[in-house]
Amino acid sequence: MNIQISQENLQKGIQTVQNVVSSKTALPILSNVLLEAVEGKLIFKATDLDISISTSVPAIVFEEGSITLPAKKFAEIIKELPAISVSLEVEQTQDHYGWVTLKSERGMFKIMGIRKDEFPNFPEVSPENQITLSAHMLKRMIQKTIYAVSSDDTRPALGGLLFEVLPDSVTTVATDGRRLSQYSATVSTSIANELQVIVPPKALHHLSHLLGSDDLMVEITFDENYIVFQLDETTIFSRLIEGPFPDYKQVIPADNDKLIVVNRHDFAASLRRVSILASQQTRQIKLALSPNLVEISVNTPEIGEAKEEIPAEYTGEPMEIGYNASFLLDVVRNMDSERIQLQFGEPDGAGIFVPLDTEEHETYMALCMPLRLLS
Amino acid sequence: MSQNRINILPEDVANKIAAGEVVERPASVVKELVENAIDAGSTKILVDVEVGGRKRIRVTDNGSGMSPQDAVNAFKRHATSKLRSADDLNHIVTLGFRGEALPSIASVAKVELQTRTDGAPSGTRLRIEGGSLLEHEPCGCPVGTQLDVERLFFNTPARYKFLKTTTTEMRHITAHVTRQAIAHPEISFRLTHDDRNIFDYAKATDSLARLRDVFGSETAEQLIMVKNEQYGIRLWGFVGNQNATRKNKDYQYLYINQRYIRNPVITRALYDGYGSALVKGRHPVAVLFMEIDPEWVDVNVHPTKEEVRFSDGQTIYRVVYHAVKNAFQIATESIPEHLPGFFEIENKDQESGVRKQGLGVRDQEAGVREQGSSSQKLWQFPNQPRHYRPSRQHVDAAISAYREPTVDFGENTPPPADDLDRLSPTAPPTPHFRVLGQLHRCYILAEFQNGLWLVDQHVAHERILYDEAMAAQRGQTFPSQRLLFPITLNLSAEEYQRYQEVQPILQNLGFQITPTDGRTVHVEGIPTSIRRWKDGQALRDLLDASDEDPPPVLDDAEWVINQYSCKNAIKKGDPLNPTEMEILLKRLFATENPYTCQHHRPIILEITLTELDRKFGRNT
Ligand SMILES: Nc1ncnc2c1ncn2[C@@H]1O[C@H](COP(=O)(O)OP(=O)(O)OP(=O)(O)O)[C@@H](O)[C@H]1O
Ligand SMILES: [Mg+2]
Repeated sequence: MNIQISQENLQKGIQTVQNVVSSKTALPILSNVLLEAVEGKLIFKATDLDISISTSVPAIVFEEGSITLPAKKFAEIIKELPAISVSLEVEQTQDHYGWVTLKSERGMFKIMGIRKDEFPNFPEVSPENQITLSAHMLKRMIQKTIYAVSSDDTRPALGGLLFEVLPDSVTTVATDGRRLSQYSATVSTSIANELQVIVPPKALHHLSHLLGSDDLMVEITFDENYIVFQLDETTIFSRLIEGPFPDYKQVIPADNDKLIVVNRHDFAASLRRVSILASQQTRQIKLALSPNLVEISVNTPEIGEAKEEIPAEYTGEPMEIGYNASFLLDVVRNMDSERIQLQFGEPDGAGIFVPLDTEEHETYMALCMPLRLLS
Repeated sequence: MSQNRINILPEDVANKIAAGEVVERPASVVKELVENAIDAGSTKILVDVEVGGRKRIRVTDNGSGMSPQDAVNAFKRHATSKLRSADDLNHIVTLGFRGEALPSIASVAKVELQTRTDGAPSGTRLRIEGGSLLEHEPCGCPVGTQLDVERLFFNTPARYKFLKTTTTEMRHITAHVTRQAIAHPEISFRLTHDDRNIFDYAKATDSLARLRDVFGSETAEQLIMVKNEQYGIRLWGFVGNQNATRKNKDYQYLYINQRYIRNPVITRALYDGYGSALVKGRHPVAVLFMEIDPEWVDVNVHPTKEEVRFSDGQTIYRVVYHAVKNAFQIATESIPEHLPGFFEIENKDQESGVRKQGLGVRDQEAGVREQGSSSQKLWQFPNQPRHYRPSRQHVDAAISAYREPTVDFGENTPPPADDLDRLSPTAPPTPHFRVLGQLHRCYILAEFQNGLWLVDQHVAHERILYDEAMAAQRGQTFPSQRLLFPITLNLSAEEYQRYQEVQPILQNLGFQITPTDGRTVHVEGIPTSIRRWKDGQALRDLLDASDEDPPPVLDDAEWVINQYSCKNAIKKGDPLNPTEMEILLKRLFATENPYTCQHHRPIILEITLTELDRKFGRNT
């Protein structure tokens, strides 16, 4: 392998894949990044076996070839290089190793690499089920739902974000068994049959670094065991979490008839203030509904009490309902609507929170299970 | 003065001594009487208990019965119809053979026997108190035997004093009868306590049908059949699949020639057979029946006959190990293998002890893979989905990666708890401290006025939860977090009994549980402190009885409180952020005793500046 490449492109390539490289692996090859030179480009690949990423940048290729290098060291060197063009040449040795020489006008680095043979093959996925979304929409789908993902490691299926694809919509759902978030975008997909996959948060975290510009188009491939996100020159593969995801539709009440509209900012600000006096263990606060008013209050023995009223559009029966303040704060934090509608049924049943000012083509709702109030 | 020092003990004294070994507690009486009923060929056995066996234990069977003479003989020491010579000892096929049980029981209780053999015109009634025969007369009674044991330990106050609470004793009794019921599906068993049915198992056609009654259909459905016949040993039974593991060994029933036994060799083989399918700290559900030539087994090791010795332990190990292992391979073929060999390197800390000790399915596979052709890559991506375990950090990282600054209302976490203390007139003043960080995900480091604190995160949280549970026991109530997915749990008889006993505490803690029918409960709400609900396993863990070994020291309430605080506490290895650590310490200082836990282990270790100065050789 022998190429000529700018520092800028090297930097871009290594930065894109570097985060995936695991730092504490016992398998040395996994702390390496794979470089492959083919016709006019240099491909960077990294994997931690759960998540794999590849990206390519332009390069002048004199001789095709490949090598893996310790990702961290390589990245540090590139970062410190001046913005110039460098040549990168690999000298294969026998056995598993190879010497990489990085040369600029001023100097050179010689780093020992490991040959490609040891590097895991990337998964092969069938391109059968594919959809395309804008980065803006994908970002919203994830951002608005991911907070409800469970971190209880005993229920793997709840530990990821559900993607549900239909011919005319894409939906994300997360739940930890106490609350649930659901976001749907109306888009036409070429998916004929309903498709459900559970995506690990780790993959979405890596993806977030790449969703920079809003009008970037992201191609998503759903394979039996993998999900693949393709953006420009970069591809992320992630293993899926094994399902099934619980039947969430069944637990979303359809007959909540107490409908209250509040200003989200008022509601959030009151919640934040009142919850200061909530018990650290239960975080319990109380919502009391009365005509045109919601009272948010707290009464924690040995700590104190507080109450605030906010104006609301409400004409139904008075009702009291208990909540974990942190859950409600999560709900309002992840909405960007001016007004939100609270939908309650029985005081013991699920409360639903719906933003009223949404973007076109989207529907969004959050659900929280209440705390049963102390008598 | 006599020169002879050795006296032959009078029979009643000898019986009392034997009673010490045979009759440890009410459950031992139940065990002996039920065994006798089984030996007598009964098809129906009724066990009625009052006040945990303190007041009365009555076992009624429809077996062979005894003749008037045998009825008297039965209470003589070493009188048995089941053994005639020492040679017979090598061929024991009955549960009893020592001829010790009845005299032992009769020496420490008031016993009434009614018995009649088939064809005899009338039956016999005997009354014995503290070993002396008081009455012996003909009577009318059905064919079979009824033994009524009243006021156990009435003449041995020291033993009486050591009896545990009624529920604890009752749990032991239930355990003993359950063991017999599992081994004998052909016999119907009914157990009552204070006139309430604990269980009533009808005659069953096979073991699986009986297990469905005993374990509940939920667990029974998770059983895999095991079978093996090798070296003259016939083994068969059932083991639970990966999802049916328990947090203790209570669901393990081993039988040799229909006798319930415990044996470390067999247990070892069972666990090794599971290999990697068993997560660390979990225990398999297993019912294993072994038929072995009685000559190979010595059951005469201990008076309770639960311990056995094998003349060839290696062989029995192999038979059990292969049976379990094969059953698993067949059963898991359709289920994807979760982790290929290399994942283990990264996930060492999650490995189970069992897995590391080898012999597991996994290790053998790994070996094969390594020997495989060298053209094949060692690190292939497996084709199946991996059993992915979510981790807090990944979830947190992903959430914050997508949080948009424009919609952020500020921190979700409460303000520093300092302010709260000032608002609270009754709370003890919290000493000032500053959290420095977490050490090896195990200890919290904090700076305080005179030096450094090292706080054990698990024990600290356990202390907080313990106080909460104690408060619940005293009647304080906590709110209940309603569940989005309420669940229905099928409890075993023992679990259900414990549930009934501790139900008020559970409710005060925030559980919302409604019994439906039988031993089934419906859970709609849980305490806010439960972090890992595990689909109900968290509740089961509170109810699982496991005071068999070491010996029971706790009553049910204490047990539940201990379990609640230990199981739900933050574990060693859980990452904590600075706010969480601060809140944890604040809450710790609000407890009754922040410095030591209920087991008297330290929670906080203090290293003062003076100590440090001295260690560094600095003179101040
Ligand atoms: N329910 C019963 N039905 C018929 N016979 C019985 C019954 N219970 C006891 N017997 C008779 O009484 C004898 C003495 O019983 P006991 O339990 O004391 O001794 P064992 O069963 O022979 O030996 P072990 O002490 O090992 O239990 C038995 O051998 C049996 O003949
Ligand atoms: Mg006996």
